[in-house]
Amino acid sequence: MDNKVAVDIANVTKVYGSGQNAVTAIKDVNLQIYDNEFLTLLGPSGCGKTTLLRMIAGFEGITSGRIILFEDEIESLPPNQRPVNTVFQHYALFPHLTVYENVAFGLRRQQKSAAEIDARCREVLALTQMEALADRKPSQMSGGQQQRVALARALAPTPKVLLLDEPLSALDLKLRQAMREELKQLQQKTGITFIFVTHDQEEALAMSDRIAVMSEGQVQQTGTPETIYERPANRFVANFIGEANLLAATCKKAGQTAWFDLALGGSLQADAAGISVGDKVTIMVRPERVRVHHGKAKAADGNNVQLAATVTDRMYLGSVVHFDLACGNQMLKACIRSETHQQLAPGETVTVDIPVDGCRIIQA
Amino acid sequence: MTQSAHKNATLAKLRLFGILPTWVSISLLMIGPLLIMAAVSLMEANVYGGVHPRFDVSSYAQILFDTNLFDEREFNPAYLIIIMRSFLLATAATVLALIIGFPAAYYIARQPDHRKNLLVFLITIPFWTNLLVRTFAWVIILGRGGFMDQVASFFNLLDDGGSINLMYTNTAILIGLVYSYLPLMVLPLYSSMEKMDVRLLEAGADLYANRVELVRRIILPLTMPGIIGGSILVFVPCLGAFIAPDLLGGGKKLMLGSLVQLQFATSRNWPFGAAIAMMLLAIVVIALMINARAARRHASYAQAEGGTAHD
Repeated sequence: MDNKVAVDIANVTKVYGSGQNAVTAIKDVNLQIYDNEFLTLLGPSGCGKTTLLRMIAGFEGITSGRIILFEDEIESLPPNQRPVNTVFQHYALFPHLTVYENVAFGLRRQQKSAAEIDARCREVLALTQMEALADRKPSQMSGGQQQRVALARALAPTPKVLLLDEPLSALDLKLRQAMREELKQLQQKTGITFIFVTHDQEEALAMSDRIAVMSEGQVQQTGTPETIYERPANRFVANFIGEANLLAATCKKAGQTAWFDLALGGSLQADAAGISVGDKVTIMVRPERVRVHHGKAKAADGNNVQLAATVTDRMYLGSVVHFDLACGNQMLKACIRSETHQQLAPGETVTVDIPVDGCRIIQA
Repeated sequence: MTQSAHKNATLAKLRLFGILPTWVSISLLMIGPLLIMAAVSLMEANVYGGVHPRFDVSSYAQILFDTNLFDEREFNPAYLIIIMRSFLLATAATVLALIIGFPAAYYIARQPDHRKNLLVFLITIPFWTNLLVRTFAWVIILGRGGFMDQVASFFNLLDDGGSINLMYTNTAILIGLVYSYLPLMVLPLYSSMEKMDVRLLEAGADLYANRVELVRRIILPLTMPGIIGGSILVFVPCLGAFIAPDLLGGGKKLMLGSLVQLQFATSRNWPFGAAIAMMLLAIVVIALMINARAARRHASYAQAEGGTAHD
């Protein structure tokens, strides 16, 4: 991945309706998508991720802002003049055309020569392993096969950017997992920038070079899967990606390494610049970082915070065990690998051990 | 024979008995009249109406040939001209109805659900009034000093006392036919357009198709069943129409329908009227057979639910 910007979304806003009924679907979004990158727009339904994708494709106009595709402003072009192609959520294959003609559709509209069309069709059909079914109609194929044809059709005209609108959502779990692998490889093989829309965080984490987490029409955070998971920028991202324990805390000593008093009791020391004494912050700790054991809680030593808690629920999931713990007036979650977990039954009083290096300070 | 097979056979017989009323009413009400018509067409005419029960095929011959004073058969193009005119007018009306109905149906199909239903409802409103009355309205619109003349004179397109005078022309008949049968074109077109997935148009535009190509490559092939169905629904009744030619053509420009009506009502030549009706029926059956073949061909377009792969 080099740093050339493929798609530059600058101050884009989308408002539906007007006056009192106006609904802002996209609020002043800025997002740079780099060339040869697999970027995922991740968010709950209604967050505006599909709208953003459709604005890049040209199916939705924008109220203000600019969309630049490799130095060309494209926001006022109709969809058929934008050098991007889309894989639709329900594939939208042409039912009256064979697989081959579906794939050739874009090339034929571009007035390519017959030899060129044929060569490119065979190439992308081979790439998606669909050459054997070239003469089938879409209705004679399974969902997974239709999915591959939709991919081949969108890749055939060699788009500058490929847009994928939740393309895996209609497939069953096994197929979905296999296709993740394949999509990732396809992106690397073709070198085309992929913009992938999904609400499935696992899918996003598994495939993406970078993820843009969206909520309420805004990009909440953009970063690699590791950054998004380990260092969420705010409460929304922390809660949306994986599970999170959010602890209220107050800063009692500012500085490069600040001290915080937890509302539940205990205090800890963490890297936090730009926070002053008395500021209220949220501290996030992932359930798999939390340790649980019998025995008495010890005083904080700066590396750990230990809290007394009661087990309220235990869920055995094979590789891991999930615990719900009542700690003061808050519920905490812990996720412990099966082979290390001790026999803790609901109702038992335990000590929750939160390591400081598993904590992230989320401001406000 | 096992007991269950025996039971099944009895059941099948019972079921046949159950639909007996349907068979009786269909034969009495549909096949019966057709047979009577066929029989009448093969009999000798009675000058005062009705028929003599004697076998005679001269009614069919009369469509193309006339008997002259010397009892010789000679070619008479009069009825052939009427047949040709019927075909030309029915074809023209079908094409015009398609040109007008296609965008209309597309517009309705693209509306939100509640407005869709309202518009379809509005399309059916003309059927509530007698066709005769509605056609007569066109006499007022097209006739001398009518609405068309008033519009034309408002824009100073007419000399004083002049008239566009469309009445009693083929054009007037054509207008009447298109007007009468346009809803029959719009409704099947609408139904096939409504079934079409809009996302296919987005996919087409995404793959660089312009508007014309979207219509030609996606909308037209996918709405072909509606186009064929609507065309037959317009073409067939246009062939047999007699109100529009009578009122707007002034009875001078006859069509096949008017000819049939004339033979039964005025000329009292029942066998000849029946022969023309039988010919009309044959044309309609051929048209329907063409439709059935086309529909079969397009059945494969339908997106079959759960299409299975066998590779």
